Amino acid sequence: MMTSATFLAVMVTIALAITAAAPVLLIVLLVRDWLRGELW
Amino acid sequence: MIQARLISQSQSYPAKKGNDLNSAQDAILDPDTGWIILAGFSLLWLVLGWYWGRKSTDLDQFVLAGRKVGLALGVATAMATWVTSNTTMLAPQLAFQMGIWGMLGYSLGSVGLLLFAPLAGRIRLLMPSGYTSGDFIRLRYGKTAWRVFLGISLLYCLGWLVSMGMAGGILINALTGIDYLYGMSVILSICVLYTLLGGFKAVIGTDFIQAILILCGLIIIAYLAITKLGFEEIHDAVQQQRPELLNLMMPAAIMFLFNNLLFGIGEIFHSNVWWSRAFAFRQGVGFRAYFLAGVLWAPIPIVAGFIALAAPALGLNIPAADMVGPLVSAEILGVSGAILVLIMVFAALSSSIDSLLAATSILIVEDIYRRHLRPSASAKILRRASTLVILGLGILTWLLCAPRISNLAAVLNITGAFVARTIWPIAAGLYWKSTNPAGAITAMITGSAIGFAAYHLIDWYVAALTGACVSMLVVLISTWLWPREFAWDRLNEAQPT
Repeated sequence: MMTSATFLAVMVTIALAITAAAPVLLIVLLVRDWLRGELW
Repeated sequence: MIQARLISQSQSYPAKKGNDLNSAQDAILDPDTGWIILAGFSLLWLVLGWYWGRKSTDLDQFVLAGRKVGLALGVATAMATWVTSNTTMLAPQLAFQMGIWGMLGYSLGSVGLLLFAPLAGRIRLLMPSGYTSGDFIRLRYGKTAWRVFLGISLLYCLGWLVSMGMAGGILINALTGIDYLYGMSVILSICVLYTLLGGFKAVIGTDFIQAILILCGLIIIAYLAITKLGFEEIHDAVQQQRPELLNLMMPAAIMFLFNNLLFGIGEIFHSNVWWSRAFAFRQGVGFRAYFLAGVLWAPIPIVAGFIALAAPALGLNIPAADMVGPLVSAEILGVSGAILVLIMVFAALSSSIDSLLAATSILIVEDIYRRHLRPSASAKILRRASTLVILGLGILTWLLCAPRISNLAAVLNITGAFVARTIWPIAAGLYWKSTNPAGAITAMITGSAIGFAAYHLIDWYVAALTGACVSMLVVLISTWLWPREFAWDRLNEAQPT
């Protein structure tokens, strides 16, 4: 059973979208924690 | 995660078209550029380590960052620590060797983080003043189980540390041509120094920056691969030159997937690297931090693996499978791609080495020094002992890395059976009052023995699977047949004063 180009594209696009969202989310959380005084 | 390294092979993959990056001996960057990058980031980690460590004078501040780490730093440290050099270098290699299943199998390493999320919350709740995973085993199952656990846990931590130190030297050499001994010495000494200066705060703080660097590098390389080549072209080239990589019925890859899953869970459940974070996170943060880290980590091996699949479309000649990631990056981005890979690798290595130094040192200080040698040691003495142990561990690791032991991978592979055997004793011990010490000890010993036998009699890919299954059966049967009530408040021990 071979993987199609569409399957590969969908899988990688979803993975890339989550990976791209990760640094943004981390920075947003960092600012939120910092403002609340809960950084560490 | 380290397990996937174990199928590492130096295979040659001739391409249809030639190119100039066709020798394993050819470094992608020149040594001068390499030294400038290493010096710049080393200085940054040292300054940050010193800055964050200024107030880490007492024991809890130094070894657990004051037990008040918030969500952002919690997620980043779990992610960065789990992204070892393998995730950036070996995920592409696995995709290149095992195709789609290699990417997905590596991605299943995130299950360990996801499953540890509820455990992290419970650990923090039941042991508000705990320090190590050894503390839990000692209090929950007694001294015999604790010593059995400690033996393998310390061996595993040291093995992981040595493998990361060696990986540092090898990768820096492959990327820049800097001599193995120099590269390994730089990365080890920098990590030891900033961990000494800043303790756990330095580890967690630098992990945040390292996580951002790794993620950004990966996004840039993958995005450029897609825009430069496109999915269709990449898929067509793989289908023509390496069709097996697109086959969803690749048996070896499917077996790798399950073994990797269990190894990853065992690695996280037993290791003090993850327990120390559970103790360090602010109350209520542990579950969310590990869960989010698992969700955000899962796509990383897929993206990193996809980069390797671009090799046939680029017509790259891959002299050694473990260099496929850097070679594709250099082909797409030129020198800046190679610099990006070096920064990512340096960040990934530092984030794992510092975590291992911190977690292993507190395991030695708490479980060996305090519990075996000086039960009355004050917090001040333990704080000082932590410094000495970090330094000693750094020196020991350097001594073990210097000869570049060739069969280290085999040693680590065997530990797959050992770490997977701890999954059930730990999970059951945290949730079931009736799981008994004898059952836990028997599960760990028989799981290890049978997993070890399976490793030799069948192959490496069944070691973790067999060890985990046997250990599960022993825990379930012994809990059912010989239940023994345990009072949870016994886990809440007084802190050293």
